[in-house]
Amino acid sequence: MLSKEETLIQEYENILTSKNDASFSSTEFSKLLKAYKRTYKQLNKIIKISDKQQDELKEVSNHLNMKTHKVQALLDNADQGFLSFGNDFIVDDEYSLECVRLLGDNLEGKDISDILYTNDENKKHFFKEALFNVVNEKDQLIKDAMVSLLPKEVVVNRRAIKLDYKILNNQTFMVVLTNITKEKILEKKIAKEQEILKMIVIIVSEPTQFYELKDDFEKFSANKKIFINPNLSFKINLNELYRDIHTFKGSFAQLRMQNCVKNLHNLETKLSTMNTQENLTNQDLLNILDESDMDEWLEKDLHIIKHILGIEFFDKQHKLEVDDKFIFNIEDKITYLLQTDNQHINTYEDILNEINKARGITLNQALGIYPKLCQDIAKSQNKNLTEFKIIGGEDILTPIHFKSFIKSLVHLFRNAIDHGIEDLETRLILGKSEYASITCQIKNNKDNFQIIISDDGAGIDIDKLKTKALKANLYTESELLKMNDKEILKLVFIDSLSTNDNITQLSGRGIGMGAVKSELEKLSGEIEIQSTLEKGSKFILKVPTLIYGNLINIASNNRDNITIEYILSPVVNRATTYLQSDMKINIKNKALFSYKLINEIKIKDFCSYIHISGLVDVSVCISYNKFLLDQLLNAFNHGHPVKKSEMLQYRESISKEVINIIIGNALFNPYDKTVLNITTPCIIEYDELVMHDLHQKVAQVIIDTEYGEMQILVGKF
Amino acid sequence: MSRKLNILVVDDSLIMRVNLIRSLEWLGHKIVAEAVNGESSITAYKKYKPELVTMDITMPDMDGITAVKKIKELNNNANVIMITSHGQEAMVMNALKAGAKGYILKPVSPEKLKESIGKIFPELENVVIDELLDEE
Repeated sequence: MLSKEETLIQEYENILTSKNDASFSSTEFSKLLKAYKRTYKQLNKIIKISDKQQDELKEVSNHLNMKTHKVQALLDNADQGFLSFGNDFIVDDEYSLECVRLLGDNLEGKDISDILYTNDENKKHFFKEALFNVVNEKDQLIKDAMVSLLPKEVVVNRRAIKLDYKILNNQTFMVVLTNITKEKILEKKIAKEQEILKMIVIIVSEPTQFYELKDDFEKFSANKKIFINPNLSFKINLNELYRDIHTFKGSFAQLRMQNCVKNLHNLETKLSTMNTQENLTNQDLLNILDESDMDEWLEKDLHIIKHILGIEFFDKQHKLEVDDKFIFNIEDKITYLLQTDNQHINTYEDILNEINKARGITLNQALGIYPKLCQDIAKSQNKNLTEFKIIGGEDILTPIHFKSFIKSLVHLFRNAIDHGIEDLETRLILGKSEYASITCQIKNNKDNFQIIISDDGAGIDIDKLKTKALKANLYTESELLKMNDKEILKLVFIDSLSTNDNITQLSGRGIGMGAVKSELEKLSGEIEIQSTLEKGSKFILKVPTLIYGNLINIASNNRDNITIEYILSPVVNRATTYLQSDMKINIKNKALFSYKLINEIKIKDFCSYIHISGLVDVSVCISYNKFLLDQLLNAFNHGHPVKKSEMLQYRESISKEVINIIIGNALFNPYDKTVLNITTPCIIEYDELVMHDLHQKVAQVIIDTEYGEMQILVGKF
Repeated sequence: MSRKLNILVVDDSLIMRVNLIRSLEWLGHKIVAEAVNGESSITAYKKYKPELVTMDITMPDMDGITAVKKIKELNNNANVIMITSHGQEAMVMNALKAGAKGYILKPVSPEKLKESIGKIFPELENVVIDELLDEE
């Protein structure tokens, strides 16, 4: 490289040695040469270092390149997309591959808000304004708060994307995109499964309602054009049709038949826009009905039902026997859903309650085995018995723990035939009908229900009973003298006492009647016997429902009660959670799904109500016992005392806040697209407010807490 | 407790005011005043010059956003936390733009309040809720 310079040095060194000329200042020259040589050497060194550095630099740059590639590869292969944009909202050139996958090609140069919100100008505007605010905000704290308000999820190209924002500097934003479509689909699937489960469970527990609605709707669909009366005006026809569609929607919603609900809702929307349009005729209504394939709507739901319950379900017209297998199936499904999705435990509890309802049979059905059994027993003894049916009890669900009590009733029936009903000859001599009669009636009273079993047989011979009791050394004569007839009649329940001298195969040893009594006592029930010699006996079994109140569900056939499923159930759920989890108040009656339909309402000490319109048009009224309300107040007030003079004001305020919290949280459902309009709460002030003769029944649930009752009423009042 | 803050609570709901006051007091702070609407919050702010204001976003008469603006005009360093509900994002953004330092989504709890206050007054961060519980 420096060969020229090297040759030059050599040349001059030669000159220096050859010319020993004094005139020539050799010392100066040699000094110069030396210095030059030194410079040369140093230059050489510098060049070498520089070369080396250049190599190193190359290496570093190669390394860097490699690293960049690696980072790019990492980013490209990450499940997340990374992109950045400036405060002009234009996407930078560098973005990772996942962005392309999620948002499409050629992102650079595009406006980020156009990419994220293709059509929604409002959202675009909010997004841009928010980022603009973030850029202009100097306070880091406020900046962070603003960033937290930015949308966290968007849907682009039918994909759900989660967005995380980073501010790189005040000019550049980075967005990290995560594809959460799968999670969203799973969520939706779970929600859909839930809906289907609910539908099936409700249909199974209310088959009559289902069949009626199915028939009605099929008829409506087949004759839909007849409903448009050409002699009436468009407006009248429209209103009629609208009302019919609305009613159907409500009924289907109650049974959770989602396809019908969805389609009827769309039709309803169409009809309501027609109401505001000019120059429409009946023909337009006919056209719109023509376009609506109602059979197909129904078929879609029926298809799902058939798929789960089998086609046989539809063969058993208006009658359905619940197969245990089916219930196990649903329970399996719920168990599975509970494992994958623990966010909706309340919903599953709801379903389980419904299943219990489906599994449970009414008291009428539970006792339904006895009429036939009685016939068999009577025949075996050559006695004639009039056919009879169990009367009443269709509205009482049989609690599971009633099983052995109901079983024990066999003794009562047997006893009636064995000892009550006389043999044919005796009956004829006494001038009685050759056909004996046994009746069984169930009465549902407010606080108890009664099972009344009576026969027209011989009645119980009180004197004979006394003699037996004496013989058996159960009572002394003087003891028996003190007892009244009612008490003596109860001796029939003492095992080992039997008034019949002929001990039959089936009864007569007195074993059994005691069982009835002890089973009844387990349920805190009592028994009363009325008996007249030669006329017959009547056994009245009273079972209190207060203790088992929650287990006894009042079945309802009120078709307009969409509110039960859509409003009451979530509100009760939320209220329970609120009281228990947030307010730490214990609830005594846990099985809360049971509600009553009443047409007289009594409101508790404090009350607030909210009106809900939209899919439904009802009021929700929550009232409290004073003590419970004060407990809530106490919780809000962190246990501080409240002045007496301010008490009323406080109670009203808490009553409003609580109904707001409960209703607001209960009726917020991201899957439910149906909008509900909810008013702000009002306070009802009164002393003893009672409303009766309500046109429509009101659904009532009472939550019994350790501090008193909360009453939830849903309906029109 | 390292330091008490003097706080002004603004809310039109009596029970919400009470709840906020009790929660803040439980955290060891001092409530210097309460106001039931935006208008009266300005008067109270002028009089008490609190270190922190909790402000309901929707109120009759003067709403929370306007009140924040007015308070900021009085004192540019004023610290205001908004009390909000779901679906009020745009309103919250306006409040932040007006100078609010943070927001809390209802239902309000001492934990949420503490977190929000801690962001504005980092020196208070070392007070742990558990310690407060132990004190009780």
